[in-house]
Amino acid sequence: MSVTLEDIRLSGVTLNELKDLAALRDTLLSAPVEVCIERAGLITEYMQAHDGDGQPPIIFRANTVAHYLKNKEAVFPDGNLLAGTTGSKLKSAPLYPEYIGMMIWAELNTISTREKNPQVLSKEDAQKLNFQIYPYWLDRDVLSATKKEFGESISTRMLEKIIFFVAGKAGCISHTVPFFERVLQEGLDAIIEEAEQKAAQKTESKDFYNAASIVLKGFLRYVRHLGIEAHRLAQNQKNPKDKARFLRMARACAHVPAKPAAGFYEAVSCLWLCLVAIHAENMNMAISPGRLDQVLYPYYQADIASGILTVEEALEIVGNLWIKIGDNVNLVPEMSEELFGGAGTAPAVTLGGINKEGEDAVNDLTYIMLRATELLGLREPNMNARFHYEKNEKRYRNRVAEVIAKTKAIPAFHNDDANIETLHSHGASIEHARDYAIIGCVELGIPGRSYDSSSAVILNLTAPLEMAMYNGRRYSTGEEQFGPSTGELEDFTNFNDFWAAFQKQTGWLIGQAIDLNEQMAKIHQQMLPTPLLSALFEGPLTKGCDLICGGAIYNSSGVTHVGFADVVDSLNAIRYLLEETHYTMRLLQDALKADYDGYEYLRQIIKHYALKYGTKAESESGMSGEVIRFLHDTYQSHTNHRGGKYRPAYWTMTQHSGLGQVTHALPSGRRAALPFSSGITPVPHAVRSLTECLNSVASLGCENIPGGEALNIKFPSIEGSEDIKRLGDYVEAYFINGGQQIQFNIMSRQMLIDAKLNPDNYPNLLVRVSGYSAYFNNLTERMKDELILRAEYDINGRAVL
Amino acid sequence: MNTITAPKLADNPGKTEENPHKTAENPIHFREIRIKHYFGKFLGIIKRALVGIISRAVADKFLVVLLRIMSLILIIDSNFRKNIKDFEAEYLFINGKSNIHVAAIFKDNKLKIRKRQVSDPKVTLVFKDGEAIMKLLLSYPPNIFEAALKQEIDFKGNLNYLIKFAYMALTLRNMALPPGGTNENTIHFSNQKGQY
Repeated sequence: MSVTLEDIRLSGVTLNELKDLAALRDTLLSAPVEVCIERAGLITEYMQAHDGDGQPPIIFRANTVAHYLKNKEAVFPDGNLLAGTTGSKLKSAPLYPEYIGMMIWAELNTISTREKNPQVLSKEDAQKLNFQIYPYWLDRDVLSATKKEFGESISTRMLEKIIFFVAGKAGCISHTVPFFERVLQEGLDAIIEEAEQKAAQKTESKDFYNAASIVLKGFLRYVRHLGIEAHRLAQNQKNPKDKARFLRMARACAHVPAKPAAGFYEAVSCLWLCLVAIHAENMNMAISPGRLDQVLYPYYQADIASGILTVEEALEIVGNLWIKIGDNVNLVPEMSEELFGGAGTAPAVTLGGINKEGEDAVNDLTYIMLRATELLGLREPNMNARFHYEKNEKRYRNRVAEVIAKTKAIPAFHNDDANIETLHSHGASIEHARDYAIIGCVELGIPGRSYDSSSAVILNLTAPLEMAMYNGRRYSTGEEQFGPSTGELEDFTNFNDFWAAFQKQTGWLIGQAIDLNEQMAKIHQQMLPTPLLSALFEGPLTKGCDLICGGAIYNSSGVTHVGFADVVDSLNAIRYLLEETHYTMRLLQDALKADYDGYEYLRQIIKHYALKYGTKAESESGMSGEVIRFLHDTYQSHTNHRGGKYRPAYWTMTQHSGLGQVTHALPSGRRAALPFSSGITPVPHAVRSLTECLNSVASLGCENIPGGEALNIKFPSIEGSEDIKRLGDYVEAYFINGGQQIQFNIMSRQMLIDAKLNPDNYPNLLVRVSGYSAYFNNLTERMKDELILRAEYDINGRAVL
Repeated sequence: MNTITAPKLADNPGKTEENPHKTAENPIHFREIRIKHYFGKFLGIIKRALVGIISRAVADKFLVVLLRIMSLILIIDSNFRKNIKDFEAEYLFINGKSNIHVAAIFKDNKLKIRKRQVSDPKVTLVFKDGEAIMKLLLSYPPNIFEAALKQEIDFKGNLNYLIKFAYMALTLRNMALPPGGTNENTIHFSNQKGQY
């Protein structure tokens, strides 16, 4: 593909020219988040009326979702060019009672006015939830159904304790990238026709095919309603521009997604409508649009060539899509704020990299999307730039670096060479691997071919470390026995024994988390098949098998780990004390119990002499690599319910802050309640040189991290083209050495302190947490402190503080 | 026939009562409306007085007092009673310090309290001591996970039932508000936000 733009920065297009887009941005950012119960009400209504009808589960689910789509209100809450909304509000927090929607029951009177991230719920809707909707779901949400089916187990108990692991399936079926090419090229009518033909031919799978047909027809009914309403509104408009806007939407809805998209605007409209429909079936947690600069390029190119589209118009349409993607946020109970506070829905868009043939895939649309990202500076979509250091041009690399400098946080960089090799070595064909896209935060997926459920488990890695120190118990849960008995810390006299205990506890905990994931998967298969999402994948329609039953071409489940650096440093500290000093584990145990009060000398010895992850010496000693290998190999012994493998990953969103808060002192010298280090990032201030840090992380390689990783680096400032080039150089050197992903915050400690003290002066400050981006003001005070305390390097790679 | 029910203080803590003299359209029913209005006011005073008792309960007696008041309000307040329409569930509360078991049994639109075990509770809540349950149910809103993380409570069974109970306890507390009171009053009532 070639780049034809004379100015890849598109510096002539600004929000001064795109005033409507600027207004949309302001409206979105200032709009309150409103809890939307429309879906909850409609699906409950259908299920109450038809429970016990004897419909096969997948047909029942399809009819339920179709009922919602057919009755979903057609609303146009702002001046967006694209029709369709996830919820009924301008910025909705849709409530999904199947998952965690019940969690706000105790907060019905307070969620609108809570101090942090209020979500507005009308009194009328609160009453409806309390008296009509919630009573039906008391025993029917995923966690309750799992307990009912499989009984209370130690794994459900650990899940409810939160401090061991989080099971993603309690919250959603998500974290994937659909396949939009077919619906764009052929239209849903063709997919429905295929489903109906196969329903008649393949009796063993007819329920699946019929379900797909039912739910897709429900989807088309919603689009029809949108078109009718847009047409009606057009008739009422006096402003010719608004009239034209509504008529354009009405015409698009009359055509897509039923028919193939004709042109760029229709293609973008079709893609957005598909996302709305997917959100109707399942909660939007990292349902990722994928490689939009590739998927939409043929439509852009054709329209540009025929003269019916300008670059500016294309940029405006892309900007409108970016706004639309932010029209929904997750419903967050107050009780989850500490762990997930400030989280978006993390729909990842992936740009650049190479194409299926292995050639440079960067095109004009890549730069248009980068410019839209730069101008809007929004949390959603979560922007990611693939970079192949041999195939992509330096000007692309530097342009991405420039957008990072301007927005202070986005996009993240991903290493094509390493990621493609990793996916290929884990079973993907080379063509498919080259077409990878980012899921949610940093995870790797192959759009429409792999169903990765990449956030199936979030495992707190400090849990098995503590269990190895306290004979299968955790400090904060007292005497309750969870893991196997492997001895008390004070009894260990050599490191190999402790390492064996750590491995045993970790293996046991992984087993428990996976057992629960598999149980919940069975509940999903019974209660929550996904015929709509399945129809937007390659594989399910061929196999006659739902996505969550193994319909995709490639199947895997992701497990990400919180506290990696803290655990590695703790293991190194224990090894150091045992092998190189006369200090006993009894002394360390006493120090930990006292949170190092009265044992500061021991803490300082550990801090100064034990190896630290991120340094060259640690990298050469191999502990970090050993932990990575051990975890990868442990997961390889487990196969998921779809026949795929579990993939370890290292990204932590804001959980390293929340889980750190409830974790006691660690052998690394970390005191109680302090945040863990984020993602795969070394502990702050452990490494004085950025080059040393990057080399050490890169030395971990990618083959044992197929799920993805997040490395956070903070620069106080990037000024001018030379700095931008140097930032690009760091990325390139890191990737040549094998680093997988890197993301930046371009902000100084002083600025972040000021932002914390004067939030009104930084209303929409974007920051990278660990994986996705967030608005600084939406984060918990603890998470803000974690960002403030992160290591900071100047552009020469020296630690600033 | 026009009917006017007592103002729903629990549902509208921020609203003042409407004057029935202004809303009554049919003068024939004026007396009936006035009686209902004053009976509603009287009930409101009774409810506030009852719920006020909860705030004065000592920690060790808090749960039982709360349940007894809840049981009474469920009888006299038809709107609050809607919370347990067709709701059948047994809760078991265990004080970890004194090992006292209290069962709350919701059945036939009533709440019965028993100081004993029940065989098949929907949820079992073990709280560290009287202060722990008091702190949980008087926080605003009740944060079950925070209390669990701090090891102040432990639960087994269906969490949804516990969350529903927490909502009912919070609704009950709102009844202590005077007409026109706001959520802020509730926070004041419980000394400080998140505390008791």
